[in-house]
Formats: sequence, C-alpha cells, structure tokens
Amino acid sequence: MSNNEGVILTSEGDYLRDDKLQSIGSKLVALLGKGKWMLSLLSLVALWWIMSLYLTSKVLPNPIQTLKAMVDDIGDGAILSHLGITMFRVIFAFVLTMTLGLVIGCIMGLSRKVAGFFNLWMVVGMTIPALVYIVVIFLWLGLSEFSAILAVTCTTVFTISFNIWEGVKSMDKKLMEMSFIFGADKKLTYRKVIFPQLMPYIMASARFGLGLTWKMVIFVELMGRPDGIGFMINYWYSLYNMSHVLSNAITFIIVMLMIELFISRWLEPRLFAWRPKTSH
Amino acid sequence: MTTTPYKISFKNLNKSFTVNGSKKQILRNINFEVETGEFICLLGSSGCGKSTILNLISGLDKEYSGEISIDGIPQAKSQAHLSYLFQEPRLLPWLTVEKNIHFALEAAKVPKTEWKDRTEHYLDLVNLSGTEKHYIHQLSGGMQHRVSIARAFSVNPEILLMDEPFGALDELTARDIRKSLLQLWQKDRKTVVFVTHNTLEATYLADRIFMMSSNPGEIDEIVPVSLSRPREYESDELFQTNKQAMSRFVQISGQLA
Repeated sequence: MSNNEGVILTSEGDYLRDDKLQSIGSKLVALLGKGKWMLSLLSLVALWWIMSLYLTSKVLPNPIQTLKAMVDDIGDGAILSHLGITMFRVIFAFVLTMTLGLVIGCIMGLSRKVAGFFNLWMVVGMTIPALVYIVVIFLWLGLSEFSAILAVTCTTVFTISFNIWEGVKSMDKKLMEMSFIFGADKKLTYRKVIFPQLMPYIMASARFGLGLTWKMVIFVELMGRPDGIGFMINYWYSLYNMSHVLSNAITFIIVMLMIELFISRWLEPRLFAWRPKTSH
Repeated sequence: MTTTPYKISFKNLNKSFTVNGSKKQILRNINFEVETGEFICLLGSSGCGKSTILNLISGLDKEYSGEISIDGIPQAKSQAHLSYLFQEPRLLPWLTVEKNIHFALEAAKVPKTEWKDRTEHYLDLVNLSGTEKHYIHQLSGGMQHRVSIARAFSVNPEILLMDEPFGALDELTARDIRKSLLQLWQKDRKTVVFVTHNTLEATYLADRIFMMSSNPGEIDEIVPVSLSRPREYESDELFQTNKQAMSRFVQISGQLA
C-alpha cells in the first residue's frame, strides 16, 4: 500500500519537475528564437563590414563609422527635428489616405453603378507614376507642405481604395441577411457585422499603405521640402558624405521598423484573437 | 366577438422570376393559415420553393403577388418579432458565444439588464453552459447549431422560421438537437415554420405537414399529425405515421418509390 503511495508521490513529483523543466525549456526556446533574430541581424552587419573592407569609406563606410555619424547627428539634435517633421508628414498623409480610401472603397463596394463608372478612373489613378503626381502637384500648387502631403496621398490612395473595395465586395451576404432578420439597426450592423469583416482588409491596407507612404514622403522631401529625412539624405548626398546618408537612413528605418513590429506583434494579434491559429 | 387572426396566412400567393427572357414560376397559388403556437413542417424535395416561403414570411424576399399577413396585418407593415434558423449556423466568428447571443438581444432591443440571464438560460437549455467565452471556431458543428438555436429562442420571437437547420449534421447529433428544440418549443409555444425534405423529421416535429410538389411549387396536401407529445423516435406510432406520410409524399412528388 505504502509502496503504491510512494509511486504515486514520485510520479506526481516527476510530473511537477517535468512541468518546471518544460517551462524552462520553453523559455530557452524563446531565447533561442530571439538569438536567431540577433544572429540574423549580426550577419547582416557582418556582411556590410566585409563589403566595406573592399570599398573605400567614401563609397561604403563600415558600421562603426556609420554609428559615429549617427551619434554625431543625434548629438547635435538636428536629426531628431528632421525625423519629427518626416514622421508628422507620414502620419498626416497616412491618415488622409486611409480615410479617403475607406470612403471611396465603401462607396464603390455599395453601388455597382458607381463602381462600374469609376473603375477605369481607379486603374488610371494606380497606373500614373508617383513622380508624375509629385511634379504635377508641385507645379500647380507650389512647393508647400500641403502639396507635399497631397502628392503622397495621391500616390497611395487608389491602391488602398481598391483593397477596401475588394473587402466590401467579399462581405458575407448570409451574415447580412441574419442581421436583417434579427432586426439589427444600421448602427449595430455596421459595428458588429460589417466592420469586423472589413477589418482584415483595413489592416492589410494600412500596413501596405504605411510602407508606401513613408517611402513616398522621403521622396517628396527630396524633391521639394527644405527639411525632413529625405531632405537630409539629399543634403549629405550632395556633399558626397556616405556615412551621414546611411546614418540618416538607418535612424529612420529603425523608427519605422518599430512601428511595423508594434502593429504585427502587438496590435494584430489582439485585433484578430477570434481567428483560429494557423501556425506559429 | 372578434376572432383572433391567424398568425400567418398566405392568400393566392404567386411568385415567378424571369431567367434569360423566359418566365419561370416558383410558387403557384399558395394558400394556407397557421395558428398561433403551431408547429408546421413544409415538406418537399429540393427546388420546390419551400425556402422561398420562409423568405417571404421573413420579408427577405419582397417580390410576389397575392397576400401575406402576419396577425392579420400585411407582412410589409408587420412588427412581429421573427427568428430564423438557417441551414448554416450563421454566427459571427469574431464574437464569443455569449456576444453572439447579445447581438440578437441588442438587435431585438431587449434591455441590457436582461442579457446575462437570458444568455445563461438559453445556453443552459441547449446544454452549452460553460462555453460563453468560447469563440465560434472552438466549437464543433453541432455545438454551433445549438448556439444558433439558443440565439433564435433568446429573443423570444413570435414566429420561428427554420430552413433545414439540421441537414448538415450527422443523424445522432440531429436527433439530439431536434429533441432540445421540441423541449424549448413545448415550454413557450412559438409559432414554428420548419422546412425539411425528411419525412421522419417532419412527422417527429410537426402538428401539420404541408406537402409540396415542384415545378411550380405548390402545396398539394396538408397532413395533420395527431401523435401525442412528447414523441419517441423509436415508437411504432411514429414509424406508422411516417410510413403513411412517406407514401403520400411519394405520390405527390410523382416519383417512383
């Protein structure tokens, strides 16, 4: 009897120990996961370093030189104000693009006649090269803050509208019927039936739109603004100073990567918790 | 001396639509009345227009000639609370089980203070207590159907429309759910119109069976089912009644047995 109990006890003990081991194990795996990420980053830097050994520092400065330039830039504070201005433009253009894209996409999705009429406009809008929008808007409206943001918006808004339109078209008619039968009013239907169905399309468009917007903002700054990261990159380019070009670019890329990581690692998992997990 | 109007009545109802220039009649001369608290089964083979009748009662389909009244009022003006059980559960996957029921309650303008009790009550009746916080994809198909039954009853509808709701389930699960459905129905006696192509299901559930034939859809015969309730699946009476219903149904459909 007592022997039996002993067995039970040890097996329970084993179980507990296993549990502890498992949690340590999973932590290790998580650490290794992070390690992999570090490894990937370090090898990228290493590659850069190796390449810089074969090139002059005018062409490709090594990571330390770039880091020095970065510390200098941040030290004199100028880069932060340029970064701030660029971020302001990115956010402003992004919000404008998403708002317009949602409105246009929904209108197109709700009326087949409107969609049929404007379909060609959309395609033309998407085909016009970004450079053409920027040049035309600068020529018409002058080199102002407003034209810069408008130009950025024009380059992205059509694609975003198109995505949202696709989302509206693919909405489940059966759920709409269900909502109608149960007597849901417009507000409730929008909140609980329509919006959640559009959410994946909105998020996908937002990520795509953000990526495109910040690239365009840099481009527009280079073409016609006296400040911002794009302007600074152009400035250092004209002085043929590669380490400062890189330091400006990398500072900005780091900020945008943070935002991107925040969206993909923090925001999306929370928004789409209802979805079955497909893979890790 | 006012007579209470029928819960649902169809008078000389016809419906057709045009395909590629030629007119196709879906429903011809449909006439019937349903009393308050009755359980009606519409029995017919696929394509006979039985689901169309549900869509007409619910107002999803508004194009027809003839008259449809609910409580003696034309359908378009009726304020009667309806619930619909579809072939699929049609739950909102981004909401948890309880939030799905809350959705229906909010739509039916049920005061928020009652939501918790009603949700608990109806989930309990379909044996789903404890799944309140689950998302829909975490439930099996049968459980999802039971959630949609709980949702349909939770709004306390006057009329419950059901369109082959158990067609996609395995027979044992379907029996189980039919039983919970009848238990619920016997408690609060909603008027139910249930569409099926399964005679056994119809005899098990219905007070009266409306037998339909297709091309164009017509109601050929109304067969009362006088079996006492609660009914037993394996009982001889049910078996006999089903046999009669089946042979009648075969005659009407004009198909060989």
